[in-house]
Parts: sequence; C-alpha cells; structure tokens
Amino acid sequence: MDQQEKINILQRIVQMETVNDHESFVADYLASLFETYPNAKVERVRYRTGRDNLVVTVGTGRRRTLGFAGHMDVVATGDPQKWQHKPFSGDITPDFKMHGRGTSDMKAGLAAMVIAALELLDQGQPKDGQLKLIATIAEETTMVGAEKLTEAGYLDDLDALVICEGSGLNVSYTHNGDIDYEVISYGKGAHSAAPQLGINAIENLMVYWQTAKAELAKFDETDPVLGQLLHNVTLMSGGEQINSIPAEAKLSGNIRLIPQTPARLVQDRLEALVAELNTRPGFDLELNYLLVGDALPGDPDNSFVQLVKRETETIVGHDVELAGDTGTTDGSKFVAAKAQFPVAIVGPGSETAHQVDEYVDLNQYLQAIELYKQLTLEFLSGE
Amino acid sequence: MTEQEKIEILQHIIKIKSVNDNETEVADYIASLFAPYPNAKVEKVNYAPNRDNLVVTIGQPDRKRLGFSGHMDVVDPGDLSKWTHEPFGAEVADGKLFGRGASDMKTGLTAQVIAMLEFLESGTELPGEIRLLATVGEETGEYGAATLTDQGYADNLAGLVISEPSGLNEITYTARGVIDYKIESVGKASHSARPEFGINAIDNLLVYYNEIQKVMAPFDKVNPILGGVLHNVDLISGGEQINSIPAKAWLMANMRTIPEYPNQVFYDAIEKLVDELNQRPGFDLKVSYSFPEEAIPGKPDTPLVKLAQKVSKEVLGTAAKPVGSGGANDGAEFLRAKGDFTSIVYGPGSNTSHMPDEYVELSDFLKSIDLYKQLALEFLA
Repeated sequence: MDQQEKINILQRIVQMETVNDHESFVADYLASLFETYPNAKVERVRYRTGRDNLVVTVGTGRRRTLGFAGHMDVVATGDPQKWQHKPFSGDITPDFKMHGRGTSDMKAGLAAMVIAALELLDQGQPKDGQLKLIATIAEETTMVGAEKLTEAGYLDDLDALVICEGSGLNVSYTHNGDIDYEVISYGKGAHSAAPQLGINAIENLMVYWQTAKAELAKFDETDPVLGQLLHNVTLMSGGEQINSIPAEAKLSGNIRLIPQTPARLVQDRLEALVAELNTRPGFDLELNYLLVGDALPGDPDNSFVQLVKRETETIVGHDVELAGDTGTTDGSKFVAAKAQFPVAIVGPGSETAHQVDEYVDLNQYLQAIELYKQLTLEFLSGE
Repeated sequence: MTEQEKIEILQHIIKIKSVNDNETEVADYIASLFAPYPNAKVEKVNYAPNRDNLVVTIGQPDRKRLGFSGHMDVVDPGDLSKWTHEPFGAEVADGKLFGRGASDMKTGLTAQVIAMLEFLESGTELPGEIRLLATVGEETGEYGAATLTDQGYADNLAGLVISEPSGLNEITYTARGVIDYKIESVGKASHSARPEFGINAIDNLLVYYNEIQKVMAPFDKVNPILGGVLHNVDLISGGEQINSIPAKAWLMANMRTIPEYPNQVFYDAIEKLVDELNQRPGFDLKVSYSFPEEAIPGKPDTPLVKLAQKVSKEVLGTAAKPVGSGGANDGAEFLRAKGDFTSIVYGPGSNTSHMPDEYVELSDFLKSIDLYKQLALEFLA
C-alpha cells in the first residue's frame, strides 16, 4: 500500500464522528478493507444499533495468536470554535501532522494496526500463527465493548496483546485503573426568600466534595511507575431555578487507580464517607458507580514486553524506556479474560488527547504500521 | 358594576396566557374596558414585541397623585398533572377562583382596574389623580417597572399601592432586595489522567464557593422585620465528560438583601473576591448580574401605611398588620422615580402563588375593590 493510501484511510476514519456512539461507521469501513481477503475472518459483535465491535482474525495455524486492540469511539470536541482545524476535518498541515478529534486517541493506532494486517496479508503473511484485530466501542465511557468481547471469549486465545493507544511510540506495560462515579444530593425545594424551609442540595454536595477530596488524598502510596491515585470532580450540575433552593444536585468524579489501590478498597472508603455524611441532619447523598476498572499490573522483564521494546527501538532509532500509562485502556477489562497474557501499549500519538487541536504526527503513524508488522512477524515466529 | 360582571372581568384576564410574555393581550383588554371613558388617559408603553406596559390615568391633574400597580405576567404553570383545575380555565368552585395568576397577581390588578372603572362609571369627582401602572416582566426581572420608571411614568407620585398578594390582613411596607449573579469559571480541558495538562474549572469554581461564604459572613446586620442577608447558590453546572478535566463551570447565586446594606457593597465584595482569586495561578473567574433590585426600606408608621390600616379596619372590621416581605417587587424600580413617596404592597391572594391549583377567594377579590376605592378617596382628599 502506498503512503498516500495509508493516510487516506486514517483521514477517512477521523472524519467519522464517533463521539461516544456510531462506531459502526468505522467498523463497517474497516471491515470493507478486508473484503478482498477471503482468508480474513471478520466478525461484528453488536452492542446495540450503530455500535458494533469488530474482530478480524488473519493468518493460519494456532501456534501463537497475537492481539492488537484499539477503540473506535472518541471523546466530545468541546467548543469547536477553539479549534484551529475543524475537529472532524482530518486536515493535514505542511509539518506532516493530521489534525482532528481522535487522531491521537486513537484512530491513528487503530488504522495502523489494520493497515499492518492488510500489508501482511498482501505478503501472504502471517503463515505461522494468527493475528487478531480487536476494535472496540465505548472505551472512553464504560469500556462495555471490551467487557462484552472479554465475556464472549474473544480474548481467550491470545498469547499477547498490543493496545495501540497513542503513546507517542513509547512503550508501557502497566496502567492505572479507573472509577467513574456520581454522587446525587437530594435536598428540599423552597423559595429562596425562605431558605429555612428547604434543604440546599448544592450545599450538601459541596460538603461531600470537600470531604471526599481530603479523604481520597489519604491514599498516598506511590507506584514507582504510575505515581499516585488521582481524584478529579469533572462534572457537576444542580438546581432548578435561580429563586428556588435546589432540591437536587449531582457531581461526577473520576478516580485513577494504581495497582496498590484496588478499586474495591477505594469504593469501600467512598461508601463509608457517604454513609457518615448521611447521618448528618438534612443530608441525603446517593453514590452510584458508572465505571469500575482495576489498574493493569505488568512486568517490565516479561519477554513480550522486552520484544516490543526492542522492535520499537529499531523502528524509532533510539532507546525507548518502558513506562506506565496514566490513562486507562480497554486492558482493564481484557485482563479479566480466562487466558493470562502480557500486554504492551504502544501507538502513534501526541499529548493532545481530549484537548482542542488534537493531532498526530504522520511520520509516527507510518512508523507504527511498520512496527506492528515487524512485531507480528517476530512474535509469531518466536518460541 | 355587578359582582358577576366583576368576576367575569377577572376570569377574562386569568384566561389570557401571559406566561413571561404576551402581556399585550392583557393590556389591550384592560385598555378596552376604559374605552367608554374619554376622561381616562390610556397609554401603552412598549418593552418588547407583544410586551406592552399599560398606564391609565384618571381624575384631576395637578393635585395629589396616587399610583396603583400590578404586573400582568404570570409564572409558568409547571407540571400540569399536579393541577386539578385548568391553569388557564379560571374555574370557580367553593367561592374560589382557580388559575395561574389568581393569587400572583391578576386578582389584585383587576381589583385596582375595577376600582378605577367604578369611579368613572359613577362619575365620582376625585380630589386628585389615580395612575395605574400595569407592568410586564415582573416575575423575571421587573423590567416593565424599570421601563416605566426610566420614561418618567412613576414621577411625582404621592404614594404607591402595589396589589401583590400580601393577603388582606397584611400590608407589606418593606421588602428585601435581590441580587442574582453568575460566576463563570474557565479552565483548560485535558484528559483526566493528565490533570497537570489542564485546569479544572470546577475546582476553581468551588474555591469561589467556599470563599464567598467567608466573604458574606461579616454582613451580619439583621433587619428586625426582614431578617439577615441571604446568600444561596441555587444553580451549578460544569464539565464536559467524566474523563476530561472540565474547561468550563458556572454557578448562579441568589442574594436577598436588606435595607441596612445597599446592593453596591455586595457587588464590591463579590468583585473583590473574584479579582483576588484571579491572581491565583490558573484562575479565570467572571461575574455577571441579572436584574438586581435594591431593598425597599419603608417604615411601619408612614401616613400611607396608617391609612391602609384604617381603611382595612373600616372595610374588613380588623386592621391589616404592617409586615416585611422576603421577595422583591416592582416597587424597587418605581422608587427610583422623581419624587419622594411611600410604596406599599397590599392585595388579595392566597399562599398558592407559583404553585399548582393557585387560587383566590372571590370574597377577597370583591372586598379589595372596595378597599382600593376607599383608600384612593381618603388618600387623595
């Protein structure tokens, strides 16, 4: 495949607006690229209308199976006015960068793994083992795509897995876990001229916010690679109208876990805190979990991890340090698979994920295709 | 005018849907009632399309002028399933008239209109002038009253009776002011796994939330009638997605002020805090206000209050009690007009304002017409 065609494929999927939905556009398009290869097994695993996961298996023999995973959803753009390039344009600038929501997180990695498979097919590869592409939905929200695929056994035959998240072609082998939660505060409405007749739900929620911030800060263990637990309140809403004491308010928080703080431990702490606050007069707080995923532990000395490191160094031409990824990936769900397999995270991308003017360096994108091809051949031929 | 005719006028006005808009239909109807009387001066004062204030002046100019005032807008009926009567049906049952605006405040307005019509009908020689100031947009910001005041329609009043539903047993002579304001916090989005690349707009907003409590605490004077200053954050919103550091957040607070403090001291305090916080790294807060109103100081023993008490004793048998009101009213705007005058709130209504099945006792409605007539005659004399 020539370079222009590789870029066109990426541009095309960047232009698909898969903001937390509609991943089937990407899945259908990627599936269409394999149409001319009868040996490629293409499976759509539907979550619901418009939201298909895609699994493509190529190669022969069952000696070894290497998985590549990437997600097809992207986060919201925020204010489109703040973007220098339209968020779904896939504009390419003279500095050889492609701009747009999802370029870095993580359509470049997704396209690279697909193109690597297509090019291997063109070369009659892989001959000795299988390559399995796993394209998921909803990674940015609930990871329900990865969860369902794991439950359905799609990961069970893997011997190793590469997650193609935009790491800037750095390699990580471990990452944080994640708890997304919401706290709803129930109060009692009243005219704001007579606040004593009501209970201000926002006020009580603010007490939660302050207490929870202090309480979770006590999880101060530091993972040598992943650092400390992070807690951020990222969404908040409450109240009915300006001259009414609010009867309801809500906030959502995001907690990044480290392997030393299993999700359950942190959940216990939050639940105890809410229970304690609810004993105070007027407090009626409700805690719900939106997403719970443990941290991905890993071993830097694992032979697969070392292989990924070596192959990446060969491609980029300099030393690569093994690191931890602060962001969660579908790996949080994949580790629940029956099979135990090492995971490495490496993919093209910049530090602009979830920000305005997200971009990917196209040189990195092209390098990633080479890396994934090389890695496949090396791993499948190895012992 | 017969009782039945009076009730039909009220029903007609209740049936007009003037929910934060469309006051012109009410104004036109009231104007049509004065059409048979060439001595009544009728003026429409436009605020916005379909939103006309109405000014009606009767009696002898160049003497004392008494203002009557009520607003023509009503609040939204809200959840219709909670009503057992049609919100705009003006149904009568058990001597009560039901409907949005029955209490707040189409009944008071109608009673003042009918009091004036009856003077005209009977050819009563008024010893002065009565001016009706019927306003738009009271519920959302008193901007009809602001328009009328700005254009001089409230100038040179000797007294003002606002027919908001104080209930006939109470006269409001003082009222809280209101400051509604919004704080917007601008941060910088980033992945929540990389908070160091972003600025959490919610975190910064909540710092404001905590600090403003401390800033407001020293304003601890208590008005004997109205109570202390109230500051409540009633609306809050922020963030884009659960795993993104929020780039934007805002809150809206409602303050109820008292005559002991001019609103300006609170603007100054809020703005000083915002300025201070904006010195901190990453803070970008902005304050804006919507339709603030000053408190109405008032005294319980002014001639107008005393007269209203006397008239209520004559008409009802018991004197109405002077009280304070926690809510603001159009009087806050009218008091900016030229001339020194007392503004009171005295009108028929129930405690169902802004609620489902809002109603008024029809006997209160009819009695209030007599009260307004008597009050006008004695005040102008």
